[in-house]
Amino acid sequence: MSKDDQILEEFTQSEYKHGFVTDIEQEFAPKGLNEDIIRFISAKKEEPEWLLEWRLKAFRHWQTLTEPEWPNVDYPKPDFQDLHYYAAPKKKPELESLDQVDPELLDTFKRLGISLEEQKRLSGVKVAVDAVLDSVSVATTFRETLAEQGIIFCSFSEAVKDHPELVKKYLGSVVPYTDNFYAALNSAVFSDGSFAYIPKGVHCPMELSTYFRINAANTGQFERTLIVAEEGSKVSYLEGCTAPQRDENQLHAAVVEIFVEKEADVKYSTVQNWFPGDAEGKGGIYNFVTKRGICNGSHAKLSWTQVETGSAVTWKYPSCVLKGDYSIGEFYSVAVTNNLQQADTGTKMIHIGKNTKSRIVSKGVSAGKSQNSYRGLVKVLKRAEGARNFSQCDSLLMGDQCGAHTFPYIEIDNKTAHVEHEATTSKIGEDQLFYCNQRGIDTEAAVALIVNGYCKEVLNQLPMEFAVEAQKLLALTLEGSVG
Amino acid sequence: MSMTLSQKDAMNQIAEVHEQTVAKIPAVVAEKAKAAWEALAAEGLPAPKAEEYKYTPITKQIEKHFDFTAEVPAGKLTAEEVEALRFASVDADVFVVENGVFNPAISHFDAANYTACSLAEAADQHADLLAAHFAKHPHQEDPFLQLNTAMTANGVFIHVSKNKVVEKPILLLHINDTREGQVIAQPRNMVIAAQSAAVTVFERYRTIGEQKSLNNVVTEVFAEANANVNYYKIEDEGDAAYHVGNTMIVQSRDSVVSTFTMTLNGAMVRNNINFVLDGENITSNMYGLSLLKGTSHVDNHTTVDHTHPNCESNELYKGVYDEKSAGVFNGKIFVREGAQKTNAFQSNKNILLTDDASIDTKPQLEIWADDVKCSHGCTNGQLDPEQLFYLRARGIDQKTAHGMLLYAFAADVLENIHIDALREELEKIIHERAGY
Repeated sequence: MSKDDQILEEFTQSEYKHGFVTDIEQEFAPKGLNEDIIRFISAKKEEPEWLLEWRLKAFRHWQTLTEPEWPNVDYPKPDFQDLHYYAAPKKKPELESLDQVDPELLDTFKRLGISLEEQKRLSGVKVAVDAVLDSVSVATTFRETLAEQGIIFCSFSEAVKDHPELVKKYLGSVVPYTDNFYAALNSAVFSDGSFAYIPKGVHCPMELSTYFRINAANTGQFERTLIVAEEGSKVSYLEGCTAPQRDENQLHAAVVEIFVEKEADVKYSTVQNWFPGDAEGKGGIYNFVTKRGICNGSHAKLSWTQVETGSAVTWKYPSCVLKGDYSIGEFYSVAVTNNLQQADTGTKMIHIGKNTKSRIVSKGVSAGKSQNSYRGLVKVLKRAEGARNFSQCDSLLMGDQCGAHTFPYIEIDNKTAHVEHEATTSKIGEDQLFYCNQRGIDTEAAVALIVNGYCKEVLNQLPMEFAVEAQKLLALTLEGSVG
Repeated sequence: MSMTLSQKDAMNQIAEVHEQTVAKIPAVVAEKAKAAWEALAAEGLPAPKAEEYKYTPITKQIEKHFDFTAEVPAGKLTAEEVEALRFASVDADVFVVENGVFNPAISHFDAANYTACSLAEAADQHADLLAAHFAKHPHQEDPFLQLNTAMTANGVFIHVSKNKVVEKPILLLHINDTREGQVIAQPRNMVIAAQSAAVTVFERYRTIGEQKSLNNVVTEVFAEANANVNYYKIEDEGDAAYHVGNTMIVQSRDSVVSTFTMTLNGAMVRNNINFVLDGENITSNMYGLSLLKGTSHVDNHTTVDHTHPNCESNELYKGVYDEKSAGVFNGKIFVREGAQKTNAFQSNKNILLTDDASIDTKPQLEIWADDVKCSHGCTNGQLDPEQLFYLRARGIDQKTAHGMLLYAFAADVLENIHIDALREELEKIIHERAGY
């Protein structure tokens, strides 16, 4: 076995470091999906009648749909009748301070390196964490500080109770329940999620952040996030995901909706580290997510940044509908796949308003036997005078058994559109490695260095503390993988 | 796949004609024709949302306008008409395919250095060669390719034997004569360049008469070891002409094949160019230029399948879309496992001249090998206002400046045409279209 193979071997055998199970009693809904289950979920969450109706409409629509086949991924289809659609920790804490949080939960977060106390004490930067463990929000910090500014940041269920008028107005306005198979499923059974509302003219003083954890085995996770940024407001929202090791495939079908009004600025960052399955591709999360934002008013700006290192199978296309004149959409992505992971991800930029701009930077890294696809759409509608797009999607291949694919769709109906697309595929150069080795940097460190450099354009977009975590994650994921 | 009622009608018609065809054609071909028909019957012609034909709803047009069972008029082309429809300045061996059938009477060629005959004669005289090459390209999935195979009509068979270099270009002049009624033409051509042979083939598509025509043409090109083939396709059909072309190219080691596809007119044109690189050290070049106006629609699909190491492919397609015309481009590059040291480059550039013109493009890379250099680039927009200003500032009027820039944009693709007289003719056309 050559040295390269050896290092590759070591890398592919490195264990998922977040694989542990929190032992908290859970309350399950019975397995299966039907209208009664939806009524059960709705009743459990004490939801108003209109929301139940909305869920039922979505469910009835979902029943008419079939699972999409077009993504460039191959996996056994989940059995929707063999999943739990509701799981909540039984000891539902009544929280005023972190002391009241179940110590075991706190420990879980600690082991993930995002201890709430630590976050609170983070010098200089204040981060409000709305921690979601399975489906029920267990702790919300800094809420009072936020409330002073009129910012609402709470769990979705709380929002339904406390701000029904806002939820009713915006729920489904960006991602209607008719949108696609998994969006319909999510609309029918969504369990909880986060809600953020930034009032007119307010610049959110801290990064809003939420950590998702999938915990109970056989629990479908159906998060729903809704962010509304009113005129002239500004917010940066962070989402992070890690999941413990499991043998059966778990399904994660989330919906994120972002509504950006005139001159508002929203930045949404994700570091995603779901369990990708072991070296044989056993276990791992299915991550089928619908993320979309609309720049509704003029000069609105929406920026997506994602670092994807996890999931057995991923489809995810964070999109921007650029409806307001002069609005701006951005998408920065790093997707790393290893072993038998499959990722089909990209973005959609729909230019509707005049002089709208979009920018896409996608960096894919494939190693092992993984398949990594970029699929994107840039659409310029007829009245989108002066639209501008620049897309760049690069792929880096490590090893000769992985694949990198790009499917960029470009549809233009206006002559003033200026749309550019570039894509390259390459591997880490032997000369680059040699250069590093010669200067006393060992091969592993050199690979990390080169990959970090390759991804820099995207990592630079992440908020500080996320960037650090993302860099660590990349180094960890790519340990010893030499092209 | 579910079929619409009208598609069923079209399929029933095709079934009928297929039965009649199979009874008449040589056994070598008939077997493939039956298999192709079975595949086609199972899937049908592309449905409106079929990924490969997403932007080009040609099935709908065929169902609406064409009757497969109607007898194709024989065509009444005279030698003078043929001369007027080809570039007379280009010295070439001329093979006329009239309404889908090779017509030697109005063709003129001396076939020095190579073998040329109709496909039917080839089945007689060169049965081994035909059997070894007919429908042998590994990608036979396209429904229109299957349709052509199922109803194979009589095209031209060209064979250049080992070490022969054919100096004179070979012109396959396809003319649909619709003066007597609508024409459905499904010619099948084959070009085989044996080891170390060299040949230049150019196809030209024209229409006479005002009635509707449908060309569903297939040209199979085989470049054996170290062979060199240039293949040019120039489409300038009528406003009521529908065209689906499948050019199927198989290359062996050390060979070079260059294609150039130019589309000037037609109601709806679809070009599929499929390369398979079946050996090492192969070079494949694809060039294309579309200059459209009116309501013309062109769809260029190219596929390059790198299956072996150390090969190179280059692709450059440009388009200028005026009035209400529409352009579609899909370039696929596959680099299979083990095809290391592949270099594959692709570029697609488009200019829209009006708000009613549109372009849909999808450059696609699929790569399963790590030691490769692949890239694609795509730009879409209008003429650069700064370049226009630069010219205007130097006293050049708006119209001329516009024309100069358009000419410059389009003409650089022509550099890849190796027949000087042909290139000059095409330059003239570009000058005319650019208004400069």
